Amino acid sequence: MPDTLTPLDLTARVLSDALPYIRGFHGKTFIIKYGGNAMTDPALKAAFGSDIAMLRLVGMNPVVVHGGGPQIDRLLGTLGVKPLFRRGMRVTDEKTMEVVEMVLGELNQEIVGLINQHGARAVGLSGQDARFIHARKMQLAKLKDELEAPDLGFVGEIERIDADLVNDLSRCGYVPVIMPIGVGPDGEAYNINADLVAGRLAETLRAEKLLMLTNTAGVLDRDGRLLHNVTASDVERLSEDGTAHGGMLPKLDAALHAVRHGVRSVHVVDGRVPNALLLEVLTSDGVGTTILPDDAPQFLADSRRYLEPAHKDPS
Amino acid sequence: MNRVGAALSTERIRVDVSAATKHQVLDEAGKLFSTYEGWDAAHIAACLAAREKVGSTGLGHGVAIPHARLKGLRHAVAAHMRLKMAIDFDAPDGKPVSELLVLLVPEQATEEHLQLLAEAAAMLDDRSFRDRLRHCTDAAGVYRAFVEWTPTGP
Repeated sequence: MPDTLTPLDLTARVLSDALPYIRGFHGKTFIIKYGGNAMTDPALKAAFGSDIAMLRLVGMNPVVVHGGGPQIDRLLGTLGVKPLFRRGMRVTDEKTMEVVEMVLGELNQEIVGLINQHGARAVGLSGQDARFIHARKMQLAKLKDELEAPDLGFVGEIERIDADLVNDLSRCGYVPVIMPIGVGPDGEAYNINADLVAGRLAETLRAEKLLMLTNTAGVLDRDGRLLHNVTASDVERLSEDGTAHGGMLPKLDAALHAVRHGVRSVHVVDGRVPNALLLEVLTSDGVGTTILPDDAPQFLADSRRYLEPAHKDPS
Repeated sequence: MNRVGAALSTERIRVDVSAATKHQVLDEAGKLFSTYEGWDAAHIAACLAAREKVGSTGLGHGVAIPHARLKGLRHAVAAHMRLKMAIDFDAPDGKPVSELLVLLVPEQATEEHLQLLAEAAAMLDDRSFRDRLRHCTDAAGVYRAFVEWTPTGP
């Protein structure tokens, strides 16, 4: 057997190696939280559009949820409004809400275009469409060192999500592209953290995976080293002891909720790597951190149980 | 040499195994041991399958460590199989598996064998090791990758 592969051999190998993944994930739903550099760098944007189109065209059901934080900040800056954050969430007054809706709407159409250019058919949605994301005003609890709980304005939390609209679109071969706006009982629109929308959507749709694109290598430990695999309990600890902070908190919150409610795995993916999504879904080693439920098979714990003398072997 | 390397032999390494299901791959593992050691292939496959019932031995990232204890075995033995095409193995990340390190251990001395399994898991959790393993094209290369592995990091 020759020791080196020709370029042609290599191409053939890469393509045929993808078959088991395509077969295994056929018809499965993937929620992709799109954000960060992958949403601003032209080359990364094109790669994202082509990754989503590819996943769709080989028979998977990708659903995109996007935020727009930096773009919103930029326009607010131009308008002379200073962005204000409390506990990783944007304080949203009436004027800010107008800007949020405007920017998200524009981004939404841009993403739809990006996916369409690569041959799939994307449909832009807001949670107001068919009222599929039900929200209520978010009330934060007062912390010990605060005089009163911060009022986040038109920031909503999710009450529930109706799966029908998104499921119907997926079934018909479309790629839903969702902006994180929810609607309250009074018809009021609320700005919702996109990570939390992605997490809840993954749970509601019983997604195979939730993939969150970030501007970091993944989830880091206390010394700044990348964690490749963590469990739900690990994630809880990282949030509580302050190792994870800022924008990573809502991501981990969403991830935790998702893996504790039926989503098989959550991946915090390094969005700075071109084609990060394809690598994560179609190859054995992705880029970033995999978060698994606590009840996923635990190799060593299971082995210990198996090796205990009481275990019966077939004889 | 590390524990896994000490249990492995080039004769028990295959880089071109055909199997379409988890069941078939465990059968192939049984045959591999039976060819070189003269053991009962079906019994080994059944023991490996019994361990899978406790929980999949897939680690994620396309690798698995099927293992079983075997009556009458004097010391641990290992085999390695690479599948021509990856198969579903109920791995925690849902990804198909193509590299399988198979371990058989004696019935007694549980703690020692847990250490062997822990070392095997540490190896296959090591991304640079997985990359090296996947790039080996023959049994001799796979064997070298295993025996030359040393733990890194803290």
